[in-house]
Amino acid sequence: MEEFHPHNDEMIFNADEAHNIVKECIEGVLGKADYNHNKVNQWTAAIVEQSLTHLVKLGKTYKYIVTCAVMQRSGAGLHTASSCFWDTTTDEIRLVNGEFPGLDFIGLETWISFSLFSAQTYCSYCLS
Amino acid sequence: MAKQESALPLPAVAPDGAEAPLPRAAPGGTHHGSQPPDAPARPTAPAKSTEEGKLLPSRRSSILSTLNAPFASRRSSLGAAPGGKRPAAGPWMLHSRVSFSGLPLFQPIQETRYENTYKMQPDEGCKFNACRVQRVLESALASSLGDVVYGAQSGTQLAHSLADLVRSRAKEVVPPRYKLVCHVLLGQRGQQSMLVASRALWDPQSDSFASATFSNASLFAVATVHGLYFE
Repeated sequence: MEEFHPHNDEMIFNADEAHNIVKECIEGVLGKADYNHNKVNQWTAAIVEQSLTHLVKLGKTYKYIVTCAVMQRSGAGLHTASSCFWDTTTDEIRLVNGEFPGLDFIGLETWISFSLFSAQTYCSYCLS
Repeated sequence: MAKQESALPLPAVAPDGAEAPLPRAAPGGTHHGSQPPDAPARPTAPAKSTEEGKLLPSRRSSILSTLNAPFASRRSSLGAAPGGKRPAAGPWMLHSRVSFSGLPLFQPIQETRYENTYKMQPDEGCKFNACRVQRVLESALASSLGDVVYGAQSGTQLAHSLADLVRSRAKEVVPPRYKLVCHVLLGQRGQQSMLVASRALWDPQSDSFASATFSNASLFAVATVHGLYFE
């Protein structure tokens, strides 16, 4: 029976690369649109879906969770915190918060908090 | 999970957490496995003293019991198995090294190796129970935020403590072999609207999530717990 061993590069996850992917998705979805309150739902869904699609294409043995919170800026405060029970050597969090360069109109109206959690799902074995 | 023990004669051992010298995942030299460099070093151990084992059997057992504790609790959720060939634990492996002056050097850390469990899915009845976790979240939020008034400085601390509280409560009800991701949003209640969305790439049969919200006169809180099965 053939053993399945993932290749070495599938097990190593570069979180900075994922961070850049997510930032590009956000700027791609929001950069070309004028602010429209009714479209916030669509934007959130589009950002999350596109990020996940790009992450899947990396082909790593990882599970991903992306969370996006969009809030209207009215002077109220917002705090986010996350706590994870996982393996700190292989799993990471990346956060993209707040304002984005070149998206000033968004900065006036909304506050965006985006979190990416990546958890390794496969630990390869060797039959000894 | 089945365990098999083997001693690793590491030259300079520091018992502080899962650092690089402890190989975890297997073969093919992952970026945090140091097993290949260790392998050639092993045969030099028998060249050192051979009577050490007889002198300090009791000391070794006490050291092993203290050293194993931090690793075992971590390893139980990972199930990493050894990679590559390991020589059988012969008598020379049990002996530690001795310096020239006759004083014993630090005992090698005995690492617990887990065998393959061949589990592809969580056991029956051991899945992530979203309803139960949601109830736990609601009670945790209500009990900790019942009468709290929002403050800009205290909000940070409150969010942190909430996240830890949610994670510890969720750990009690979630079955083993699950990784948890807890996310808490705490905000001041004003006239604004807010939307929280999340999407995940996972195995829908074994992984799930639960979320709960809470609000009082001055603040609102949204807590989400995602459970990921780790084989």
